[in-house]
Amino acid sequence: MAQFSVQLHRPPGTLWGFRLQGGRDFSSQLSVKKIENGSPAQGQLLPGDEIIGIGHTSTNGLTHMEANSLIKAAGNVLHLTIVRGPSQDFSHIKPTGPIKFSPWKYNQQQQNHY
Amino acid sequence: MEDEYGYMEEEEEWDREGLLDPQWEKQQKKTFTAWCNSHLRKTGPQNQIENIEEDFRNGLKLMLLLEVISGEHLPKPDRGKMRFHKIANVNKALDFIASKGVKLVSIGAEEIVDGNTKMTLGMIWTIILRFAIQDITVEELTAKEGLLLWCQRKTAPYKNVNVQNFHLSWKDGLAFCALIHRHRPELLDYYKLSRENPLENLNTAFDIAEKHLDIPRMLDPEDMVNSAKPDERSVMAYVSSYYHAFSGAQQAETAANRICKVLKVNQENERLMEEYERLASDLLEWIRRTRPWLENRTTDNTLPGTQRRLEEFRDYRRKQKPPKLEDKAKLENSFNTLQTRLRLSNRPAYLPTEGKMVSDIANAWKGLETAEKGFEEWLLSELQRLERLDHLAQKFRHKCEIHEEWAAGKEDMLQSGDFKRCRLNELKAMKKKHEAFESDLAAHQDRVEQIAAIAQELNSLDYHDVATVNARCQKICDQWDVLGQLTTKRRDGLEEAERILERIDHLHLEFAKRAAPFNNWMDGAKEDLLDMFIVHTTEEVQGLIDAHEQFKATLGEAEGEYQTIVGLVTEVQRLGQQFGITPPDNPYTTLHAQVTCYSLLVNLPFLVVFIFPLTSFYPHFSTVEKIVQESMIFENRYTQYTMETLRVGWEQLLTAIARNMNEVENQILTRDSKGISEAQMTEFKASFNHFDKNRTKRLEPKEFKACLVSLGYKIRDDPQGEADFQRIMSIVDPNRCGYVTFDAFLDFMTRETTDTDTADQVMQSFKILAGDKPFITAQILRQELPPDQAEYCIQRMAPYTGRDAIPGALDYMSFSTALYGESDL
Repeated sequence: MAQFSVQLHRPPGTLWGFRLQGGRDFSSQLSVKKIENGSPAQGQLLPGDEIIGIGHTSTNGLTHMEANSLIKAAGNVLHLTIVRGPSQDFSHIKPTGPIKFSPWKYNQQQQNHY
Repeated sequence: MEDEYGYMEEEEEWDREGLLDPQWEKQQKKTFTAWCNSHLRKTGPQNQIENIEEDFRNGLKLMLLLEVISGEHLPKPDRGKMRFHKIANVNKALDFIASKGVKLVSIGAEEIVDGNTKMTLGMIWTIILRFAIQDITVEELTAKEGLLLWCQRKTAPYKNVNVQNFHLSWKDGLAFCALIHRHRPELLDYYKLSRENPLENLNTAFDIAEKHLDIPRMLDPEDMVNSAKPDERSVMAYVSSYYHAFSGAQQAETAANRICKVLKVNQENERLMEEYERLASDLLEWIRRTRPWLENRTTDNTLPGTQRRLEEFRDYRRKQKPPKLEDKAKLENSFNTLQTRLRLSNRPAYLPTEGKMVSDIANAWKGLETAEKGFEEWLLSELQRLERLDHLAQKFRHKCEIHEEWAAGKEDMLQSGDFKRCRLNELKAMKKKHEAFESDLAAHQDRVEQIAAIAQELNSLDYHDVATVNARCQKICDQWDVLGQLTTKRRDGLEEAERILERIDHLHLEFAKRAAPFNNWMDGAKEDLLDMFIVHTTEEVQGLIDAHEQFKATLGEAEGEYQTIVGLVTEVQRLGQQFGITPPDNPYTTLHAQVTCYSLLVNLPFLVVFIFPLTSFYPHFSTVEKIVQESMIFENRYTQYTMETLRVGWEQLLTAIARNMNEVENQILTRDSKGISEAQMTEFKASFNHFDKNRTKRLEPKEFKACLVSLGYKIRDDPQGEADFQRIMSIVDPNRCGYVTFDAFLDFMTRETTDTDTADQVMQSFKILAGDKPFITAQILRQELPPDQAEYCIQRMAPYTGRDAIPGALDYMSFSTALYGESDL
């Protein structure tokens, strides 16, 4: 897991273009759920990024709306500290089409202990 | 065109003006007018039309109609009254229709402005087709076919209805009634109807539709019954209204159901979270209370007291702990179930509050078990110690008892002066006896030392009643010292007495040796002296005087002898006195020295010695020593470590069973939610098991890798491939346990299929209920949702503040995202 800062800029009157999820009142970590294409957030944030800091404030213990308000209060320049896990994109190695289960499985029926 | 069975054919194009049956034209006029008004009335009753060929001629109401049915805005109409204004307006309408993908062939704005009935009707039909029928989708069919399929599906349960087309099948009115009854059975009593009363049926259906479904009458029952074949387009237009009314309601119902489902899921998740927190609190609190008790290492140092504590511990193990173990298992399962549910509904994972994480609970529990084990071990060793002490104390008391029994009366015996009043042979016997006693004493030295040693050990082992022990031991030791002293003293006494008695004996013997002959001499002399002598001559007198002179000469010697003998007796007496011994009688003679008057010249005491037979006896001591072989091996009755292992094993098994059941439940939940069939699930399991060589229900990383490769994943054998694989591992094994469970495997394999954005789905559902508007009202919510869910939403929805807001508008969009703890920024 890598931790780093991002700085977002947006034209006034536009949305950042990401969906925030989580918070203390939802008993889950504050994170980015999805990103709108073409938004200021695109390219800077990825779905799944955990937000651990907004500006100079740690998000530890914040409710969803508190975090939301903090972000809104930042105006058009937003500093976020995020923790990002490894990419979940496996499109280059996943098999195409439906999964082909191997023929040896037919021998497994007797040994199926699950 | 259709064949004699009235089966469906392909869609007719509208431009069949030549073939338009006058009767159909009549019907269409009526029906289309009604249809148009059913939409136009939404903008106000003044906008309705009366005459279809007239009222659309200036194009204004036409444009209005299009706006109402599409929900979109058309360009502003020209307000002029000139013909070209009207044509322009109609063209705007026609352009709009064309923009919706309809190819308008040979229709011209001019004909419409001129009031060409056929054209107008044709155009209206085009509008109806495009906006009311085209978008109907039922199963795989669309538009007219879709609508027909819908009618067939809905009327299937009604045996006397057979919908094959949009004309003849509807003549007897039963099809309309069936459609109504199917959706709203409370509105009519279908089974009282008969095909013999078509007029009645049609009127009933149309009345009910108007009153209860807000579908105005569009068909004329007389026309339906009297015409050989009703106008297909009219029927379709009217039936399409039924479709929109009912399927709209259906959609609303589905939307409402989805919302309820989501709310229920949310509420259930919230409940599970609360339950988890509560259970966690309770369990942690119990552990907090119980640990100090288990860490308390104080006892009253007695065996019964400590045994009581063992009983308390047993009670804790048997009665108090099992429910807590259950609670812990429940907690784990609750947590797993919750996470599964969250994962499946695409929500973020549950993060318990600080101090109540799974790891916190596990650590606290581990601490408890460690304390437990430590406590049990300590308790058992305490019991061992106390038992040993008790045992020792027993041994001590036993030995003391025996010793005290043995020692009873010995002091008195040792202090007895019996040896001062006995004969020499008695004394010798006593001396022998004393020697025997001395050996006995020496032998008992060992015993006393043992007693002292045990007392010492009891002290060093901190026996609770050392005071008594020490006192008794001290008493015994003191007495022992005394006995030792007395023994020595007696020995000395005996030896001295022996010496004296021997001396006396010697003196006695001397006496005897001398006394007898002396006594003989004396007796003879006495006899001689006491003899009566008759003397006749002086020579005889001289002879007697000479004999007497001779005798007198011996007297000195006799005197000497006498003195010696008396001296012997005196000496014996003196010795007796000096040494406090009662001299025994002379065993050698019965004579005793006695003083005789000198007149006889000799006064020899007679020593009479009485010899008393001394019967001496040795008391016969049989000391039976009870030898108690006490085993020094302490049998550890309480340390049943095999029982411990069993008990722990049992607890683990129970926990494992509950966990297993929970796993299976979650798998079923997962399978159902992901829409995986049983066959697919079996395939996944088979793949997993094949690579789980050691049947641990877990795959090691390399096994998992092989599995992925066998399923077609392209994981290369190079640094890039390794990096890819590590990324995958970080997803399937986020906690770095070092293995992949079946759940994680399944999740990974099926992640694409469940990539749904559920907040959007809920938003969609609200949108349907709200009639496509961006806000919803409390009235609609109360209408469409069950009462408690409706109130839940009404309370929590924020007011809608868009430009098009009306009073009481509620923002369902932010509510939907907030349900999931989501907001758009």
